Amino acid sequence: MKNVKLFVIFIVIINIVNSLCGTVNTNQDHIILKVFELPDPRKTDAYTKANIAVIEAFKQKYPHIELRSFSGIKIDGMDLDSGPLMAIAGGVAPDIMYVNFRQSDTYIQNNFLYPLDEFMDEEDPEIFDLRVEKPVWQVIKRVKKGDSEEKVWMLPYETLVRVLMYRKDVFKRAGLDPNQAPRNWEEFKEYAQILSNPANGNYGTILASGPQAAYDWLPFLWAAGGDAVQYDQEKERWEATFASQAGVTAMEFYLKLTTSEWKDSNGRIQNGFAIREGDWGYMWKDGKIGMRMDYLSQQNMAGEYDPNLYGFAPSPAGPSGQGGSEINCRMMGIFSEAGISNNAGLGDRDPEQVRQAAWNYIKFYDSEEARKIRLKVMIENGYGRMQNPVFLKRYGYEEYLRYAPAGWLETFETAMREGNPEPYGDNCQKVYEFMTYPLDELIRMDLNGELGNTPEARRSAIYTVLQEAEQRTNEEMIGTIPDEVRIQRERIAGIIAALILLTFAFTLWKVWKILTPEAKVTTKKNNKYIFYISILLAPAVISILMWKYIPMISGSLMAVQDFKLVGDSQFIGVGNLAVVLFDPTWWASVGRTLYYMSLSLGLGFFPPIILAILLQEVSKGKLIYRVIYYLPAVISGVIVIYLWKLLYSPSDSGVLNQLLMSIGLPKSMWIRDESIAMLCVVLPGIWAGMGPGSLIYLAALKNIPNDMYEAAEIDGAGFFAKIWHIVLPSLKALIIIQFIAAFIIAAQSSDFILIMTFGGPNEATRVADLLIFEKAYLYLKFGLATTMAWLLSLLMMGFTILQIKYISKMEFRTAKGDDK
Amino acid sequence: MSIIGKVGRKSKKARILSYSIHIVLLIGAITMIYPFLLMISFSFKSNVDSTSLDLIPAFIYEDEALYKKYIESRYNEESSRLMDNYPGSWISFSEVRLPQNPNKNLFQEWNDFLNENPPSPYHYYVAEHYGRGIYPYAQRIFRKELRKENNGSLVEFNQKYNTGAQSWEEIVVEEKDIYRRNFVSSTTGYLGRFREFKENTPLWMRYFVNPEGNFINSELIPEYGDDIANFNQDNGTSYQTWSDIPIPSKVPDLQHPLRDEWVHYTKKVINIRHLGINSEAEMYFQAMLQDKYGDILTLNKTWNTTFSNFASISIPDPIPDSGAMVEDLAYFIQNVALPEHIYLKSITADFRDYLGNKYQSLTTLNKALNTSYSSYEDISFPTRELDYFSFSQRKGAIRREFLWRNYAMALDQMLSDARSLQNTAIYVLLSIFLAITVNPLAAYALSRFKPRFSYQIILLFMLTMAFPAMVMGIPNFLMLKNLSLLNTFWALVLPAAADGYFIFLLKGFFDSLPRELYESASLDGASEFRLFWQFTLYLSKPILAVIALGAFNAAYRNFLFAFLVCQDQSMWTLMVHIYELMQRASSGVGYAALVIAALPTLGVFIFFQRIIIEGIVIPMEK
Repeated sequence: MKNVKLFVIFIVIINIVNSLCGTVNTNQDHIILKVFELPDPRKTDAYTKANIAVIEAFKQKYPHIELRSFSGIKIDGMDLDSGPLMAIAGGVAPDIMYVNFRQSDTYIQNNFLYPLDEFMDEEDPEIFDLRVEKPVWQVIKRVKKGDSEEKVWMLPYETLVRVLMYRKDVFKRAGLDPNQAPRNWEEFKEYAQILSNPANGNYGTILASGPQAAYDWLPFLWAAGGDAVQYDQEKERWEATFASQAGVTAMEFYLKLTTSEWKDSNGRIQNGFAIREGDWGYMWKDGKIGMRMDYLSQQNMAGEYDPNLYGFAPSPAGPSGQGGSEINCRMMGIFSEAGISNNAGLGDRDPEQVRQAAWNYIKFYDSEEARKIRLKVMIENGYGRMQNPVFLKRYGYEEYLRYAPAGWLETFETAMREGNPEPYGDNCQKVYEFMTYPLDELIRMDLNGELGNTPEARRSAIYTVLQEAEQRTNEEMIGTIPDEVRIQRERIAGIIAALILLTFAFTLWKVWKILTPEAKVTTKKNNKYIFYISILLAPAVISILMWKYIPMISGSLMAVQDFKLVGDSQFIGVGNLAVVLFDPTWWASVGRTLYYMSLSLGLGFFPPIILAILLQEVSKGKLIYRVIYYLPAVISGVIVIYLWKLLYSPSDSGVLNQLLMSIGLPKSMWIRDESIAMLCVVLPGIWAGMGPGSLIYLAALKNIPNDMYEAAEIDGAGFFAKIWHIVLPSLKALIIIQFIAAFIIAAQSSDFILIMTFGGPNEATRVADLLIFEKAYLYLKFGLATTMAWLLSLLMMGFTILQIKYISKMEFRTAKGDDK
Repeated sequence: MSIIGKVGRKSKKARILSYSIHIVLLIGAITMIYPFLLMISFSFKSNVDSTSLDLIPAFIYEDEALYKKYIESRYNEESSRLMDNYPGSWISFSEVRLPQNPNKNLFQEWNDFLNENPPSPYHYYVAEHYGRGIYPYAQRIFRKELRKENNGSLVEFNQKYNTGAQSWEEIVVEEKDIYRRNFVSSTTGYLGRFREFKENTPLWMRYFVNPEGNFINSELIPEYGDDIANFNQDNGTSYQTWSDIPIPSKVPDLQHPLRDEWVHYTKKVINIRHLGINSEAEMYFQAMLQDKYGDILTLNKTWNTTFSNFASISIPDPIPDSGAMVEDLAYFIQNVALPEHIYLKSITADFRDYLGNKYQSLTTLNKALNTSYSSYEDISFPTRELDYFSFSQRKGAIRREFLWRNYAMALDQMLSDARSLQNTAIYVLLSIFLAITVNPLAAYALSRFKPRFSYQIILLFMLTMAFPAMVMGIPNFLMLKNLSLLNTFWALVLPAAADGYFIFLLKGFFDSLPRELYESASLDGASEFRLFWQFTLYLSKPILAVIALGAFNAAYRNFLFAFLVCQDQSMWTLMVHIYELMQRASSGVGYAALVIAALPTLGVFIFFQRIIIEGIVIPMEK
């Protein structure tokens, strides 16, 4: 009867599962469309209201399309650009993806975007002329590597140019003409100087700092006539080109703005006229800063900025005679696997229908109809005169033209004419990071007076730094490595690859040998039962083959491929290995893994043994102690980590800090302190593992016969002598096998670290395991990630052999009974 | 059976040893237990009491601690609003004290006044309606109403209000800074539905916009610093507290110390619904409009009106909620109107007028209310009374609310929006089921029938232990993706269904069962199935329990893999959900979630501890 019950339970479970992941709707007309973002209905600002109105109109026009907004899971501390990539991997990506210039290359090369040409061919080409500004075409319509044809990958829905924005009231207070913005670099610097008075918290302008700081250097580079990356028609590839004479000039000017020494009204020495750190967003609003670079939008111009207070002007002209304005767009593209791989929670969808719906949305969102609606809402909210005059005229609101703020449209048009699109070439997602390295370096050198005294020496010093950075950018970001270097690296990689193969083959062979029984056991032939046997073995064998052997093989193949999630992957041999072997971040993370392992083994391995002895020897309350020490095992790892995160809170009110301060010690930053972060990450595991870890030793201790102690006692052995001579030898085998297991487990620590610090602070806990996780699931570089995994497991293989050797020698018994 | 021998126990040295063992274990035990108790205690806390390390939260037995928490929640965790209503006294919720001698009569009057003059939505906030990472009382009520109206269907809700809400959690309106110029209260759509809710809240569920307190708090205190003495010194006055300073409703004279602040506040800061505009201003308003729009047709088009000429435009009362007209009026007040055109319409002034009308003279008023006002201006905004009596009349309910609300949110999250509890239950059951079928079946086949290829099969299983786990993870994930199994239960259970180690263990156990029993049983005619089911498995119950427990633990604790293969919210498991919840929920809710998540494992430990202890597998040398 019992088996019937079990069978029923099984059927019920299967049914539940099926009903949970089964198809939700089969209605042909109704289609769900997942958009990366929808306007928030709770907001009451005019801009949101306008977009809500557009969405409402869309719903009316296409009632069969149900819009959903994308909501992916995030990792604390993960950078924003990688969010969509993880969603793509996890099968929850939106159908319509948000694309900006910098990311566009990553998306196109990874085949994440579906070409829009087939849809566009059916539309009147005029609508695209209106929507796409001339300089934007080169970005949205381009050839994917390996293709021959140009295709349109995405369409803008908001076009922006970055221009000079200034505060009229700040200008007026400083005695400058509020209707006259600086026209060129000289004036810009002069104005910045006049506006700066750090004694009162006033600054001329804002220049970004941090890993993306070069974002604010690029406009100057353009204005000097240079560029960050350029496409080389002959070699058919992108090249970083910022180490040019123009680059040097732009850098000189940037340094003038950031490092020039002068005295403020209090007589204190100041460097530069720009604020780089601090809450400048608030200071800008508060009228403490005179000028900044900001975006004007094609439709809204300056949005809700009050023209009485804010002025806009073209970016100040540099030596090239033009200003450097960045042209950028918010764009939408259709996810190439929309309706195929991202249907989680949506049921089956017809990809073609999804794409059509997505196109309808993209088309509508910035159509003339939508623009009219937006304009109407903006006007109703009193922002009529701030709208783009071209639109006002086109959609019949000419009466507002008279009141349009002076100069906005001219500024927009000039900037659009002179401007450059934000870098969009190979891997340009990282371009600012790579350009910031020399920037930070040069600022530091200049502040230390290391750039030389003569203008020539300065220029040549700057040039040297820029050139090094340019080379690094070409190598690491774009991936152009000089042939001889590449060949050498691949040679070394080839040797290492052979080594890995050999080691792994040796491991398998060794394990095979260990497990093969010495004498061949002759078994009776059981042909009678062969049917039973196959039935009984099938689930396990299939499962093992499917989830262990096949992944093993495909994992090995991935390491020699430039693996792509969507589309064909290319065979690149030891290419991945060559990259990983010469990647300093990888080796740094391996170093951290070793550090983590030594900490967790050094601190965590022996406490359970000691605890077991103590628990065995304690005279009273054995049971209660045992339960208490076992408590942490009752809660799972994630909970342990959060518990400790609470203890580690770096504020004054943090538990451990209150404890420290109560005994007169200074407080600590704990997991935010680079020097002890790793220790902090290790501790919770030791804390939680002590009690449960001691159980196995306790059980083993019971197996030591009492006579042995008694015999030793007669020989006059004391407590510690007995431990040394009796306990440890008896536990030796167990200790060794436990150590091997602990070693192998210690190399895999990403769970804990991901939750605790996600590699921070400043990469102090970014272990190899975590790096592999990031490379694979956040950046979708699966080929590189598997290569790394192989390298890391090389470290473990010796131990694996040992482990299996010991396991095969052992007999396994469950501990019987407890002495109560 | 111990290292310290029985004889030795009595010696002095052994006694010291024994005591030291106790001490070490005791200290260790404290470090084991303390964090747990802290976790439980924290799970009842909110921001204001989250810094104290007491193991029993003070609000359970102390009124003042409860009052602090209540005020914090009542003011939606916005300390600036608290400062508006108690200018100069408290700057954070931790400083809140129980008021001394609150005047019940005054509270009653205020109650009556509001009943006779229902305030507009621009005059009050909904109390206990939002907070950082918590669903306070009013928010839960509001959500419950909407849930009911839409039959629990978010799709229906979205259709009705043209929204794109992904989860019920988003169904909340955070009305902040109502006093500010740019606050808008809408009558349509979802925001309109909230307004309806707001207008039906009882008095204790509201706290009021206090322009006078706000004026002191945002204009005077920043200028003079915290100390009232600075103000007195500069202006030759002798006020005891900030709230004693009377705020004029009309613009003060040029010499008046408050003039600049008053002009700034009325022209730029306060919401225009708290302002009155004189009729002389109309002329200026019309002129401004004429200058802006040129002809009346443009204006009508923008305003959606039908004025025949500019002269016929008047300033509406009450001012509408939104539209170009409101924007123009706000612009007019800020940039065109003279200070003399504007006056402050505070609700306190109305209250004073109400009391004046009702009692006719101060003496009768003082007598009736048991107060000692020397002028009507002394009557201050009765926040203190409103806050206190809202508290004292519902003390028990409030205490229960604070014991419950962190758990309410955590459970609501786990059961309704993400359904992570249900998901985890299914996942755990499935994994246990697979672990105790797939593995024993295979082990039985190998042990009972001893097929020729037996050891090759075992090798096939055991060899996988040599496969680097790190390398396996990625292709495993990609395979699930290619099979379209991501975000299904299959992705969670299939890869771990068979376990070489378990099979190896089980085979060892089956091998150790006496063979003679099998032989005699089959002689008695028992079928193979019976042999397996009633015999083998029955005898191996302990080891099966161990494997089931192992499967339970592995599934329940699985984080990283579940995080990767089930990113879709509808498939989150408990651990994944907790990870996500911790990023946005308040710490109290986070710890409540941790406590909830610890319960199943604790239960398993309590009920199956024998199995756990007896099931420990010790490797021993052969």
